[in-house]
Amino acid sequence: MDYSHVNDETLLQLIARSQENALSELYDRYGRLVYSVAMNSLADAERAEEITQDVFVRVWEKAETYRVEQGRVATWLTSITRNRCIDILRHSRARHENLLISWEEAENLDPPSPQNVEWEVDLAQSQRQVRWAVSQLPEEQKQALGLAFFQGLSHPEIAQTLGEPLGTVKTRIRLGMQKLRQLIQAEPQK
Amino acid sequence: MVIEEHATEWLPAYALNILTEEETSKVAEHLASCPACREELRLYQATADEIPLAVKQIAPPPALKGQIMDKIHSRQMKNADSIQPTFWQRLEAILRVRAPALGLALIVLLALGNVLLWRQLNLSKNLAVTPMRVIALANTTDSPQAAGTLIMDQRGEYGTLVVDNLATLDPGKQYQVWLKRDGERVSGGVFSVNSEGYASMEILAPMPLIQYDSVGITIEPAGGSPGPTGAKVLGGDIPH
Repeated sequence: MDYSHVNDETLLQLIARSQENALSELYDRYGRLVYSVAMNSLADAERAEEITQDVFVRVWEKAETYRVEQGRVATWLTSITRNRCIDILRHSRARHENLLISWEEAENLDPPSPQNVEWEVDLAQSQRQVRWAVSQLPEEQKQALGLAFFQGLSHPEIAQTLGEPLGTVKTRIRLGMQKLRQLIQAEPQK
Repeated sequence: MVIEEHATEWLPAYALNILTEEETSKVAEHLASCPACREELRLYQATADEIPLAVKQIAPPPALKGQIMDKIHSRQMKNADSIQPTFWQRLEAILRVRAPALGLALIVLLALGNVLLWRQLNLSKNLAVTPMRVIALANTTDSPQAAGTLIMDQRGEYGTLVVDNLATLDPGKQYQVWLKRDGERVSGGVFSVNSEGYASMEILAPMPLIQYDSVGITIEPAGGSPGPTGAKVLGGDIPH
């Protein structure tokens, strides 16, 4: 059974009805994204693998809880991934040494498949927009946002980690999010 | 921390979920009574949701997918041991495993709605209260020998397609199912037939099948097309 033309929402409906091939297709689409989020958050390949397994097993068990109003399926998956990673980091109080999140270059996109299916086109368009938007932020805002998003560090923790005043960190996060919001809604530069 | 007219200053960090417990509860309290800040927060949350798409992509180990699928499969097997299969699972299993002749014989039984005989066959306790809808598909001049049937559950939500005597296609081609509603078509999945021209598959659709006007099958490039491009081989209306 070929699910490559099935949209993400229908894939989840099929997973909710215990179609293993549908989960296999969902992994092909988003396994790399989920693993990448976990790796950037934990900087530990073994734990990133565990998190990726947890996320897809959870999808298998909870697919029926997904609602379109919650956002896209990709967003749902990365949100589960991020929350699991931050839980681990907060419980273990472990922070990895690498304080710089690896952002993808704006122009780096996976080559589209020859089938050019709708979900791939949508995902590529979103990636292009967000990568371009992040590339427009000053380095210090990117760094503060990365620590907040991928490690769940609070303002004081980020300030302590970077050796910067608390007020400066708060401003960087706020300005970074404001700019990102404006840029994501804008058209990427050609 | 003091929130005066609006919590604008705190919303980006609230959306990132990095405020302290005390800060979070103050912002939440304000949000409960401020629609403007709720809307502002929605936009920040949408922004935060997009951030992972910008992270550097790292390929997972190739073996990881197999490990996940093994885990899922073993859970599935455990459930199968403890839970009686549903009617649809039994039907699908029968249609997939048995010879085409048996599959078609079952469909004839369904078409006749012979509930008593089904009971005798003990295939489903549920069938007496959930008779199915059976739709015979018409062949075309491009496939004069083809036969096809769409079997839907009583509510018309789900359906399984069974086809026979369709031509075996070149490797670069597959059959694609189309569901039409108000003149617009969506794909219901692609399939290939065996050497006898037989196949069965579950129809995949964003909406319950009953909400579509008709179903059709065309020949398309392998993997399917965004819209029908090849010859139609089977089709039929879906009665509401």
